[in-house]
Amino acid sequence: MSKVFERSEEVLDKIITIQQVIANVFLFFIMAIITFDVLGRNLFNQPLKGTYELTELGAALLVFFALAMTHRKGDHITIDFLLDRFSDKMKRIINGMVEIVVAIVVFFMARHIFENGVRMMERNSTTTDLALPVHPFLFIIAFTLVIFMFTAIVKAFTYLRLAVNEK
Amino acid sequence: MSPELIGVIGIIVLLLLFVFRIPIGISLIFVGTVGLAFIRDWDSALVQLGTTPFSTASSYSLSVIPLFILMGMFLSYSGFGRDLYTAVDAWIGHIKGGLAMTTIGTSALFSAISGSVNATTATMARISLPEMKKYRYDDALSTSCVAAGGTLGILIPPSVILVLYGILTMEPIGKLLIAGLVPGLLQMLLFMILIYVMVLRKPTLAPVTEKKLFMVKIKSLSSVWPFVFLFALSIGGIYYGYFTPTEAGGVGAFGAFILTILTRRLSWKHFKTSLSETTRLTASIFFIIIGADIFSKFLALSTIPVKITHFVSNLALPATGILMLILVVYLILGLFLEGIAIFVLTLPVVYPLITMLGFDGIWFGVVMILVMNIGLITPPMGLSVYVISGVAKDVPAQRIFKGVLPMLLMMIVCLLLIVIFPEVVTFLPNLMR
Amino acid sequence: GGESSSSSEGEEHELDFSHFFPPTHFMEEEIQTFASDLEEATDGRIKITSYPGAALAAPDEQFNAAATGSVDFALSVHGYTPGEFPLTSVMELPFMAETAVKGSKNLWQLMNEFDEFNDEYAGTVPLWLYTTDPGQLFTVDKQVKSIEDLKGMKIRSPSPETSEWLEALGATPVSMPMNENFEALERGVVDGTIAPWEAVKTWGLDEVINYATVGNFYSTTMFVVMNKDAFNSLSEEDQATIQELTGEKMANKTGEVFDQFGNEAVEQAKEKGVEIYELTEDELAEWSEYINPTIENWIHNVEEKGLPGQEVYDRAVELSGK
Ligand code: NA
Ligand code: NA
Repeated sequence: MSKVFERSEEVLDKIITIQQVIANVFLFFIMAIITFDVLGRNLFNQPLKGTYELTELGAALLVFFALAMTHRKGDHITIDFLLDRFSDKMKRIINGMVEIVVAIVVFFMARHIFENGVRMMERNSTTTDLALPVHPFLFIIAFTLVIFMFTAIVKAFTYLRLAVNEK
Repeated sequence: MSPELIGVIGIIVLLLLFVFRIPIGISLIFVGTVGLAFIRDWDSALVQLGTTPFSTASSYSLSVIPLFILMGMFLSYSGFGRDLYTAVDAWIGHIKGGLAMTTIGTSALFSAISGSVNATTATMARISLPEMKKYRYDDALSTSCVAAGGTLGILIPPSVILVLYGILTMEPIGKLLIAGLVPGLLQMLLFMILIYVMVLRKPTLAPVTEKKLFMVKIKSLSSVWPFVFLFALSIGGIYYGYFTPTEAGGVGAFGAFILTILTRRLSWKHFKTSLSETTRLTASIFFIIIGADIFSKFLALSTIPVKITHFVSNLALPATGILMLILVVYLILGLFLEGIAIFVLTLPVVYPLITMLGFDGIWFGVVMILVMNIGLITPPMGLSVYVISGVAKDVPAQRIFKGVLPMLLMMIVCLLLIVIFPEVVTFLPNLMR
Repeated sequence: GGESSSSSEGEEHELDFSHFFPPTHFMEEEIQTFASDLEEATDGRIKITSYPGAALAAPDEQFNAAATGSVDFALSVHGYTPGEFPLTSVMELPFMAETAVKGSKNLWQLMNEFDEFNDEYAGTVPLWLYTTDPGQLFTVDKQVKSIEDLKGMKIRSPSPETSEWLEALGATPVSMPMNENFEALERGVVDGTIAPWEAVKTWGLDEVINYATVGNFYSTTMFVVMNKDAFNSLSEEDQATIQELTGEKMANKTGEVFDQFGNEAVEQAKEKGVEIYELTEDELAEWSEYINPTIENWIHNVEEKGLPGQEVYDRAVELSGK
C-alpha cells in the first residue's frame, strides 16, 4: 500500500516539475511576443497577429500549469495566526483536513471547467484573431487542476500519517 | 432565507475558513460557490465555477502582471537591485529610514509606467524587500512601505481604475488621469514624513549606515544606469506612444532580460529561478483574484452592497454628513470586496448623489481611488498584502496587516486633506482646456 | 433559475437580467423600462432584477451564463465569443446598415427567415437582437479622405474581418481592449480607431480624436436572450406577453436609442471641433475593391461549415436596400 503511494508520488512529482517548465516557457513566450509585436508595429508597420489573445491565453495557461507546484511548495497565501496556538499533532490534523478541503474544491473546479470545455466544443467557440478553438485550453486547464487535486491529496496523506505516527 | 442573510453568513464563514488556514483563494471560491448555490441554485453556481477561473485568468489587464513581476525578478537576481540600493545607501543611507523612503519614491516613479496596483506592488516587492532585509530593516516596516508605495500605481497616471471611473461616470478621462498626479505625490510625501518620524522614535526599525565619502557616492552612480535605462525605455515608450502601459510590462521584462545577458549577470540557474518564482507568484495571486471574482458575484447577488448604499443615500443629512457616511460605507465595503466590484455595484447610486450634492465628479473619482487603496491593505480581503506575502514568504500576512496600520492612518489623513482642500485634486485638471 | 413561489395560476417569478454595460449606460435604463413594462403586463408575476457592469458574468460569458441557467436573461456582444454566431456575424460585415434601427430590424428579420440561426442560440430563447449605429473611422492627427491617406496608419480594429480589409487597404490593424483605446489614441500608440459614434461618446474618445471618416464600415451586434428552461417554466400567457413585448418591437426601439445617442455623439463631437468627412458613393466603390475579398472570405468560411452563407449575405444586402 505504502509502496503504491510512494510510486504514484514519484510520478506526480515528475508531472508537477514538467508543468513548472511549461509554465516558464509560456511566461517567456508572452514576454517575447509582446516585445516583437511592439517592435514590428513601430519599426515595420507589421504587428504580430494575435498577440493580444496569445498573451491572454499564455498568462492563463502559465497560471494553471504553475498551480500544482505553487501548492506543493506551500506558496498559496494563507493567514495562520490561530494555528500557532495548537500542538504539533493538532496542527497536522488541521493541515490534513485543510488539504482535503482544497482537494474537494479543486475537484469540482476541474469537473466544471471540463464541462464548460465540452460546451465550448459544441458551440465551436474560437479566439478572435487567430480563430483558435477554445475548448482544448479548457481541457488542459481541467487536467492541471486534477494534478493540483492529487498534490493536495498527497499532502493530506503526509500530514495525517505524521499526526497518527506521533504519540 | 433572504439573500442578505445568506450574504452575511457567507462573510462570517469566509473569515472562519481564513482563520483555519484554508488558502485565501480556496476559501473565496468555496464560499462564493456555495453562497451562489443558496441564493440561486447548485447548477448555476457550478457553472460559474466552470467559467470564471479561465475567463478571469485570461483577461488582458491581468495577463501583464507576470511580466512586471518578471522584470523585478531579473533585476533582483542579476544584482542590479542590490546595486541600486547600494547607491541610494551611499547618498541617503545616513538619513533616518533612507531605504524605506527610497522604496516609496521608487514606487512613485514606477507608477508612471504601471497602471495597476498589483503590478507596482509585485515589482517593487521583488526589487526592494531582499535589499531592505539585507540592511536589517524591520520586516513590518519594509513590507508596509511596499504596500503603501504600490497604491500609488493607480493614483499617478496611467491608471486603469481612473479610466474605468471615467467610463462609468462619463467624466473626461484625460482630466481624471491628470487629477490623480498631485494627490499621488502628496501621499508619497506623507508616507515619507511618517517613515522619518517612526524611525526617529524607534531607530531600530531602520539601522543607519555610516556616511559615505563623496568619491564612493559618485562611484555608486555607475551601477544605477540599468535602472535609468529601463525607466527611460518604459516611460519614454509610453509617453511617446510606442506602446501601452500594459505592453510596458512585456517590453520592460525583455529589456531587463537583454541587459542581464549583455552584462553577463544572470546565470542559467538564476534565469530559471526568475521564471519559476514569477510563475508561482503569479499563480498564487491569480488564484486569489479568481476567488475574489466568484465571491464578488455572490456578494452582488446578496444585494448587500446596493442595500447599504441606498440606505445611506436616503438619509436626511447635510451634504458633508452624507459624504462622510458614504466614505465610511466604502471603507467597510473595502474590507470584503475588490475595488472594481465596489465601483460597479455602488457608483450608479452614489455618483449621481454626489454630483447632486454639489461635489466635483473628477474630485470624487480621486477620492474613491484613495478609499479603494485603503481597502487593498486591510484584512480580510487585502490583495496588496497577499501579493507581498507571496514574495516575502518569511513574513506572514497578519504581520504585514499589522505593520501597515501607520500607513493606513496616513492614507486617511491624505483622504481628509483632499476632502477639506478639494483644490489639491481639481486645480491641475482645471488648467487643461 | 430564479425563484418561483407556487405552481398556481398566479405564479411569481423573480428573474435576473445580466449584462456588461456600465450601470450608468443608457442600456441599463432600457432594461429597467423593459423590466417594469413586463412586470406591469404580467400583473406583477414576473419581476426582473438587473445586474449591470458584468457583476454576474464576464462580457464573454454572458451567453454561456444564460444558456446554462446561471442567469435568466443575458445581453452581450456576439463578437465577444467568436465562432459561436457564424450567421449572425453577417451584420458585422461592412456597409450592412446606415443606422442602428435598420441594422437591428434586418438582423431580427434574418434570424426569423433562416431556421439555421436557431442552432446559434441553443439553450436560450432569443428575445431580440440589435446593432449599434455603424462603425466609422476616427483619427487623431490626420484626416482620412482617401485610401492613400489611410496607408501606413495604425488603426485599432474591432474584428478580424475589419483587420483583414484594413490590411488590404494598406493600414496597420491593431487589436487592443476598448478600455485601452483612449490612452492609446492620446499617446499615439494608434493613429485611429473603428468604432460606432455611440462608443465615441461612451468612452470619451471625442476628447482625443479630431477627424471622422464616415463609411459604415462595421456594426457591433448584440443579443438579448432568455434561458430556455426559465422561459418554459412560465405560464403560456406570460410567455406570450414576453414575446409581445420583445422581438421586432424591442429591436426597433433599441436601435432608435442607439441612433439617438449616436446623433448626440455627432453633435457633441462637432462642438468639440471634430471634422467629419463622408465618403461619397464613388469613393466607397473604390474602397469596396479592397474590402470585397473579405466579404467573399466570410461567405466561403461560413459555407464551409455547411451553413447558407451566400444566401444569408445576399438577403442581408437585399434588406439593406442597396
Ligand atoms: Na500609474
Ligand atoms: Na480590504
